[in-house]
Amino acid sequence: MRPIRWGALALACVVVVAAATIQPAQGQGRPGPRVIVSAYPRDFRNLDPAHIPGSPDYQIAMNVFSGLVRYKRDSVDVEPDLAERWRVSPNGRVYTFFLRRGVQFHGGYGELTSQDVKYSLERILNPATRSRYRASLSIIETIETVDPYTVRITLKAPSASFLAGALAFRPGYIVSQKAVEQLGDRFTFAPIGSGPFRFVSYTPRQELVLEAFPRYFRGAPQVRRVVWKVVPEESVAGLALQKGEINHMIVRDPQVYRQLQRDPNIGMTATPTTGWWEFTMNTRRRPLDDVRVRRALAHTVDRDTFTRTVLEGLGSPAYSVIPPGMIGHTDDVEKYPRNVQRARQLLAEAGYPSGFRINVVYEPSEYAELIATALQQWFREAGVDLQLVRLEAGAWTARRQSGDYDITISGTTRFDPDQFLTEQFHSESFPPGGNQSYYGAIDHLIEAQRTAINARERARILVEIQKKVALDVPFVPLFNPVYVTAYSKNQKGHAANTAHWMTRFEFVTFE
Amino acid sequence: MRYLVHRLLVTIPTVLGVITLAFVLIHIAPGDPAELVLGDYIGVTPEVLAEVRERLGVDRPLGVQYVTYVSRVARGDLGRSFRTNQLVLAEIAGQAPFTVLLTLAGVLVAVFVGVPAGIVAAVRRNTPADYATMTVAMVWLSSPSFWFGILLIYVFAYRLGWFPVFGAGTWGDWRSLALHLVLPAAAIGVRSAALIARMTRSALLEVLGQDYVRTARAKGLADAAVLLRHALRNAAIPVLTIVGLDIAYLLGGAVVTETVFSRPGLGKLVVDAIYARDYPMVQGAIMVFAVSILLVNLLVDLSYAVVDPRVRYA
Amino acid sequence: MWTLASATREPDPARSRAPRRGVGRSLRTLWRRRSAAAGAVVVAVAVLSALFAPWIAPADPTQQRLLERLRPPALGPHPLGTDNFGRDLLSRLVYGARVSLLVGVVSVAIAAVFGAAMGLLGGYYGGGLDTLLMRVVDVLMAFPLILLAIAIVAVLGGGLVNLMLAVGISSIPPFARLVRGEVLTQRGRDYVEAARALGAGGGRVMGRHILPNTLSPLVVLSTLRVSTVILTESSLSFLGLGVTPPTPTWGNMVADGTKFLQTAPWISIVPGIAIMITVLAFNLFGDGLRDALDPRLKGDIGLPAGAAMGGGRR
Repeated sequence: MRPIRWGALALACVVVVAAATIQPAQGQGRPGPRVIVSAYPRDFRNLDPAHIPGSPDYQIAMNVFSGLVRYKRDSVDVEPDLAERWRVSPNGRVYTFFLRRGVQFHGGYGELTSQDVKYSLERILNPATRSRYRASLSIIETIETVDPYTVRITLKAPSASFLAGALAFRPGYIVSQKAVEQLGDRFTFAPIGSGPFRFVSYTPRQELVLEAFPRYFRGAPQVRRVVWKVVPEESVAGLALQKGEINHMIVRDPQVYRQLQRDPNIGMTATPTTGWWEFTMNTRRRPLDDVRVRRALAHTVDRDTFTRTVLEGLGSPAYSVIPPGMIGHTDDVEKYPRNVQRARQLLAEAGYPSGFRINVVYEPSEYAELIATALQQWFREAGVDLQLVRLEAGAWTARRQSGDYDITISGTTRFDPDQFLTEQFHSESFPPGGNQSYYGAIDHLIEAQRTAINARERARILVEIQKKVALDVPFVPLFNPVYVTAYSKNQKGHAANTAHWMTRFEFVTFE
Repeated sequence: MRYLVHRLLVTIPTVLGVITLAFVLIHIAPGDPAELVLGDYIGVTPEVLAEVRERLGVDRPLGVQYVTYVSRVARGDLGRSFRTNQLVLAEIAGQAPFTVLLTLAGVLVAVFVGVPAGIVAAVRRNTPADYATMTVAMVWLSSPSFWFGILLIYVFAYRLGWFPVFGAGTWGDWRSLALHLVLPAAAIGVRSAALIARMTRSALLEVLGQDYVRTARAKGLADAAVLLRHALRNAAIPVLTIVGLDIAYLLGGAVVTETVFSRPGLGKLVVDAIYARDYPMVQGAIMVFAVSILLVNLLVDLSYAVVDPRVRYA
Repeated sequence: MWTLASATREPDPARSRAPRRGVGRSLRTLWRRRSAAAGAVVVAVAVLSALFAPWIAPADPTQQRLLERLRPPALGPHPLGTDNFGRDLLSRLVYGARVSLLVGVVSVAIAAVFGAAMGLLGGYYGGGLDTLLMRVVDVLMAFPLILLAIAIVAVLGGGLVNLMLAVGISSIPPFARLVRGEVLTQRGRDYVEAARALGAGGGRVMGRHILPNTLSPLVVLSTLRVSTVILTESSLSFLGLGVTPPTPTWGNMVADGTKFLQTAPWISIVPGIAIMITVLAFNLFGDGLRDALDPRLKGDIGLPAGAAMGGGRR
């Protein structure tokens, strides 16, 4: 046995030394030429524009479908997509869209006409579809197909966000009427659109495949094929990217970002998002009903250090309810710079010189736990004892909707103020709705900005909203996340678009 | 044969008990499945919620729900997933093969690493080889499996590049499946391997000291023959026992392993279902787990009779 | 002698045959004693650091110093380095011992108390009660431990107490079976007959005569199970179900640290080693206890030796 034993020992040493020094092997399982293999932590649920639940599905939809208008490549402004041009009536209520000719649907479902546009939008408005986006299109009164290439949409009232907030977004994607009627329920995972990529296959919990659509009206994209793999752990996806098994991913974990930064073979595009993470205070609970207490807590927050260190720079400090990049944003609001002494002062003024105990209820997704841990330390410095209550999805929803919490933590991404102001700050949305702070002081302002068709007027109202919310401080915005698209160096064309931090692969080329 | 029938009969109340326990636990967990199915957006009115609750069948009294469910299960109908509206049986059948593969691979690793290690240690007892093997075994036994798994990925998949970093491979492509199985099977099987190594060693040492073995050796039979024929037979029962007991562990370990290695499988399926309060899926998946564990235990018990003729079932 | 008894329910009267003691065996026992002693020392160190944490730890384990985060181990104020929030790892390690050991001890205590009660009652009274109790044990055994823990946490919520309950309940089966096996063996013994003839009631017989005899294997099993429980806690922390922050446990330190494997590996390696050493220590100590208390027990504590030790259920 002696020689064998020494041999085993030697082998072990070789393995250990090799592990420590050898660079990761290249070439194994690499994506083919002009093929993108990406990774995403969650599984897909529904690719139907009427029902898209969230980000992984939205990624697919934005590559498979087209709308009347779409977001420009790197901004939240809109540009023509299926509509070559459009006219708005002087009273702001009638939109006339002139469609391109010869736009083809995938799968041989024929040409896209105004009938498909009418069908797609009415489908979402139809209560029987039970679409979650019905409310965002509810401003539409009628849709007429003037001729096969002209659509006239009449609104109930002028709407400032009709184009950017509704038509360019998920409910605005046009589907093939023939396909939906034929496929019925199967449309969920057999979407037929007119975008640059067509859907090929979906293996539940594993992968989804798209292929370039050669008859796309802007020409076939250079990327031939896109494969999304479901990888729950972002750090594992990071390793796969470095090794070359995948060549594209969205990075949200600060540590994965830090690791990938050091890799010379990985290119990165940072996208500031029009999203934000914040903590919301329940203004119906003592002592949070006192605005001085809320201001005190706001004064304990150290955004700069947090974003610089814990987030490794993947976020910029946020002070206003409307994030940078969104219409109406202003930084000219009450900021509550970090000042622990002032915090203590305010608490004493409010009658709590020795602090108090409150809880924070959250679901540990993305940054929530990092924020909760930091909050605990910050509050402690002002004498406030923060208890962390971490719940998983089911319990968290129940708790949130019952209003049983002092503070909650959440993160949102939206593209237009209309998409969240009502949901989060209007008194009609008290829990079980999304207005977790029970704040009701700006109802009239929210309603006013909805109908202000003049952009400048709307911006003015939005500024007023931001100032008021910052004064009343029912919630404290913390930072606007920066998502990073990481890809192998041979790819070009990844643009930083704040409208969505996902990739539209028609713009990606290989060198 | 009577034993087999008896055991099978006994299994039924156990399975019923598991179904009941799963049913009770998931139904009293806070969280409304209707809300979780619909998600969060304007438009979720109480009427819509009530409608969905009725469609899902969760608005009826618990007792009624329970009886309905059990009678359906007896007919082979496991219901439809709240989340995807697909048949629970179909979804489980789609994911189960991966978990079965992983568990089998884990057992193979456990047996084919553990038994030889135990033999080496027993044959070379009290030498450095013995101590080294047993110490390594103890170390394996003592580390958290997800940590071990992540280390394996880092060293063997990333640094050395010998294996893929994640996934299960393409079903049907044996080479791909095997490559993707090595690291997860190692992570999950190493603990059992350590146990089996220790067990084999003890069992062998027991036997090697026995009179009849000494006699056989004195008569001149080669060491190897002695080992193989008598001693291993003795070790077979405890090894089988560990495999049986460990199946429950291995199946539970699939949950963590599937997450770490990004593999599809029943583990992730059932955990996601619990979070989503997908009652039929949770109940169905747990039942499948339980039935598998009980079946494996039954097989293990039956195999005792094969291995050791002294074992008799009344 | 390995018998079927070790694996299933019935006790085996052949247990009385004591193993031979050869030279090799004595040497092994000696090594066992040394390693058992080492194990005992480490366990003592862990327990002491848990008890005296506030005096031993150099800093507040929850105090964050964001400007000093991710420091590697070095001589100075942070000998083991700092974590993502700049908290001192040595302090967190020392305090972490508290929770990890507390979870270990309390969960095992819960399992031992309930399990022993079930085993005693079932074994002594037999009949319908026995069948019922053993069915319950079977149901618990057919439920993968992780899933049971997840389900219980979903129902009760997170936090330390619920975690201990969840893990404790899932660990009942080996204790119940062990005690029941012992009771069945003891029940037929002469002294029990004598006591009953003298008019002693069931409770008295159980409490004064049978129970003390089951204590040794119970103690050994408990010691060995603590190691399993510590590992389970770390897996649950990895899945996000453990103790809520900022309380450190070795398990959640390892779980959090896996994200930093490339940028700051010491964050998970240090507590990982702590877990390994402590679990190893409990295993060695348990082995030694078993040897010391009753060498005949080796292999016959209702579960094959080694299987009880951190194995079987996870």
